[in-house]
Amino acid sequence: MAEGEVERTPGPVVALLIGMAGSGKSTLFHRIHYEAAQTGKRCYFINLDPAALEVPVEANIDIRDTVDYKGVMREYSLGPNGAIVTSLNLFATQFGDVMDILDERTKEFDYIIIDTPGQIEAFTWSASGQLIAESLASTLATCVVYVVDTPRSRSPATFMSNMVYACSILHKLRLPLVAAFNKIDVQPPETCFSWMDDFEAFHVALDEDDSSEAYVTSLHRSMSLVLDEFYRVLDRVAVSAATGEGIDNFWAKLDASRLLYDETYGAEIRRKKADYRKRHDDNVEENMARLRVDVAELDPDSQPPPPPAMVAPVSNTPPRQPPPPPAATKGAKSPDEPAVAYVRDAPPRVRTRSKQDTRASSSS
Amino acid sequence: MPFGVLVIGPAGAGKTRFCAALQTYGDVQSRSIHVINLDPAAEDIPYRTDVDVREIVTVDDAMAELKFGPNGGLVYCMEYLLAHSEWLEEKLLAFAPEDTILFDCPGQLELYTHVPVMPRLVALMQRWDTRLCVAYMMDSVSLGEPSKFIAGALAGLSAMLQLPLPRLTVLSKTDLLAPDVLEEFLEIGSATTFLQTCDNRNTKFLKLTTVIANLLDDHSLLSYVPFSIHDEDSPSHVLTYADQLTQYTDEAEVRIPRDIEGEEEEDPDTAFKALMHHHR
Ligand SMILES: Nc1nc2c(ncn2[C@@H]2O[C@H](COP(=O)(O)OP(=O)(O)OP(=O)(O)O)[C@@H](O)[C@H]2O)c(=O)[nH]1
Ligand SMILES: Nc1nc2c(ncn2[C@@H]2O[C@H](COP(=O)(O)OP(=O)(O)O)[C@@H](O)[C@H]2O)c(=O)[nH]1
Ligand SMILES: [Mg+2]
Ligand SMILES: [Mg+2]
Repeated sequence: MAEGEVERTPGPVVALLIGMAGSGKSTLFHRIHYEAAQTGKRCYFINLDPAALEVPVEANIDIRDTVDYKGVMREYSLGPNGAIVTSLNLFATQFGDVMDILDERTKEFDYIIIDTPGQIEAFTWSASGQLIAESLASTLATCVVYVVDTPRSRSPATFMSNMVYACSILHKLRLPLVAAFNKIDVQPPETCFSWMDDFEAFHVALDEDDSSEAYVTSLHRSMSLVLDEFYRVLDRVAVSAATGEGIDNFWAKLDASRLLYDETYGAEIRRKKADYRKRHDDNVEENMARLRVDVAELDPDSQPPPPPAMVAPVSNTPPRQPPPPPAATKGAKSPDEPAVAYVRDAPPRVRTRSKQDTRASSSS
Repeated sequence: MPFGVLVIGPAGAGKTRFCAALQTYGDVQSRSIHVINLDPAAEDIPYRTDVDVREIVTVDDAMAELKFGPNGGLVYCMEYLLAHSEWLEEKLLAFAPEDTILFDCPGQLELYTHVPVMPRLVALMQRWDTRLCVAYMMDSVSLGEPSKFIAGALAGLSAMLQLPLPRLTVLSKTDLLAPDVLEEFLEIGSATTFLQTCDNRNTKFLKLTTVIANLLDDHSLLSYVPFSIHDEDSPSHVLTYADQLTQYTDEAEVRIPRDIEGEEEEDPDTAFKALMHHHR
C-alpha cells in the first residue's frame, strides 16, 4: 500500500451532512453529538440550516445566530426558498471568520460535523454552498456524508434517482462521498446494498416493480451500469439516527474518507498547490462576486451596508457549549438522545380543507 | 388536447424567466402560449399566469397556519394539489387543442422521487390527453468545468428518470458565457470528447467519468438547446425543439409562424438540425 507515501492533512475530518429533505440529517447530527459525548470523541458542530425550527443540539457555530431567516424573508420580501439561499449567501460572506475560528482550534477536535439546509439544492447548487465547501476543503480533510432515507428508497426507481443525484454531488463538490443509509430501524439496508453489489439483481427489481409511477426504459438499464462504476468509489454505512445503531461504523468511515481525501483531493492540492491556490482563490473570488451581486440585487440602491438581517457577526460559542466531557455519564437514556417518532409509511399529510377555505386564506 | 412543456430545474436555473420569455415570444408571433405556475413557493412572477397553484394553496400559508418548515410546507402544498387535481383538470380543459402550455414547476428533487408528486401529476395529465415533454433548465455556468457539467447533467437525469416524457435540456443564461466557450461546446457535440479536452488528473474517478460521458452520448442526452433571455432567437429555437418532442408540428401545422424575421429562407427543421447536429 502506498499509504506511507501519502501525506496526511493535519487536523479534524470535516463531514458535510447532505441529503434530501427529511432524510434525517438533523437527527443524525443530534445522534452524532450524543454518541460523541458518550464515547469521548472530540467533535465540533456547525449548523448551516437557517430555517431549522429547532436545533436540539447547541451547535458551536449556528447560522441562526448570525442570520435571521424570518427577518430575511420579511426585509427582502422573499419566499421560503429565496430566503434560505439568501441567508446562506449572507453567511457565506462571513465564512472567512468561520475558517479563522476553525484554523485556530484544529488541534482541539477530531471531527467537524456540519448540518445543511433541508433543501438540498440550496447547498449543492448555490454559489454560497460551493464557496463554503471549497473553503473547508482547501485546508481540511473534508468529505460529504450523503444521507439516504432508506425506507423511502425501497422502490428501485427512486433508489436509482437518489444514487444518480449522489453521483451528481460527487462531481459538483469533488470530495469523498459516504452514503449513510439512515433509518435502518424502520427498513433494513440489505435490499439497497444488494442492488449496489449486483446490478442484475437491480434489473430484476426494476422489472418487477409495479408501483404506479414505475416505468423503465433502456436509459434506466444503461444508468445502472454507470452506477455500478459509481458504487466502486462510493463508501457506505448503515445507521439509525433514532437508535444509534451503526454509529461506530460511521466514525470509521469518516476516518477512511480522510485517507481518500489525502490520496485524491488533498494530493491534488499539494501537487499543484500554487496553481490550485490561485484557481481556488479565483473560484472563491468569482463565487464571492456572484454573492455580492445576489445580495446587492436585493437592495434597489445596491448600497452594500451590512445587511440588516445579519443579527451578529460569526462567533464561536465555546462558553455555551463546552467540548463534550471525555467520560460522559453512562445512563442508558440521557435527555440528550434524539427522540424519534417515525411512522412507517406515513400517509400523505393532506388535510382536506375545502377549496373555498384555502382561497379565502391565501387571497391577501 | 393542448401541448405542454414541463419546465424543471433547480432554483435559480431560470425557469420562471424562460416561461416569461416564451410567453412574450408567443404574443409577438400570435402563437397561443400560456403559462401555468405549479410552484406554490413562487415569489414575483413576471408572466401572465393563466393558472396558478397559489390560487388554492401557498407554502407561506402552510408554514404559517400548519406550522410546517419550508420543506414540509412545499410537500404539503403539492400533495394538496394532487388531492385536488380536478381543479387542475378543469383549468386544462379550458384550453384550446392547439394551445401550448408551459408548466413552471418547483425544482425540489424530492417531489420527483421520495414524494413522487410530479410523476403522479404527469400521469394524470397524460390521462387528460395533453401532449407533454419536459425541459430541464441547466445553468450554463456548469460548462466552465467538466465536473460541474456532469453534475448538472446527472442532477437533471435524476428527476427526468422519473418522468415518462420526451426530454430536452435547456442550457440557460448563455449570455453569461464567453461566446467561444458555448460555440466550442455545441460544436463538439459529444460528452466524451468534451471531457477529453479537460484535465482529468484524478484517476480515481476517471473510469466513472468515462462511463457517464458514454451514457450521455449513447442516449443523446447531450442535446442541449442554448437559451438566453437576452437573445431574441432563443425562444424560437427552443420551441422548434419542444414542438418536435410534443409533435406540435404534426397536429397544428397551420399555426406554425413562418417568415420569422431574418430567417425567411431557413426551414426551421434545417436550422434545428444544424443546431442539434449531434441529436439522433
Ligand atoms: N425511524 C427513524 N426515524 C428517523 C431517523 N432519522 C430521522 N428520522 C425521522 O425523520 C424525520 C426527518 O428527520 P430530520 O432529522 O428532521 O431530517 P432532515 O434531513 O434534517 O430534514 P430537513 O432539514 O427538513 O431536510 C423526523 O421525523 C425524524 O424523527 C431514523 O434513524 N429512524
Ligand atoms: N443573464 C441572464 N440571467 C438570467 C437568465 N435567465 C434567468 N436569469 C436570472 O436568473 C435568476 C433566476 O431566474 P428565475 O427565472 O427566477 O429562476 P427559477 O428559480 O428557476 O424560476 C434571476 O435573477 C434571473 O434574472 C438569462 O438568460 N440570462
Ligand atoms: Mg434538518
Ligand atoms: Mg421560479
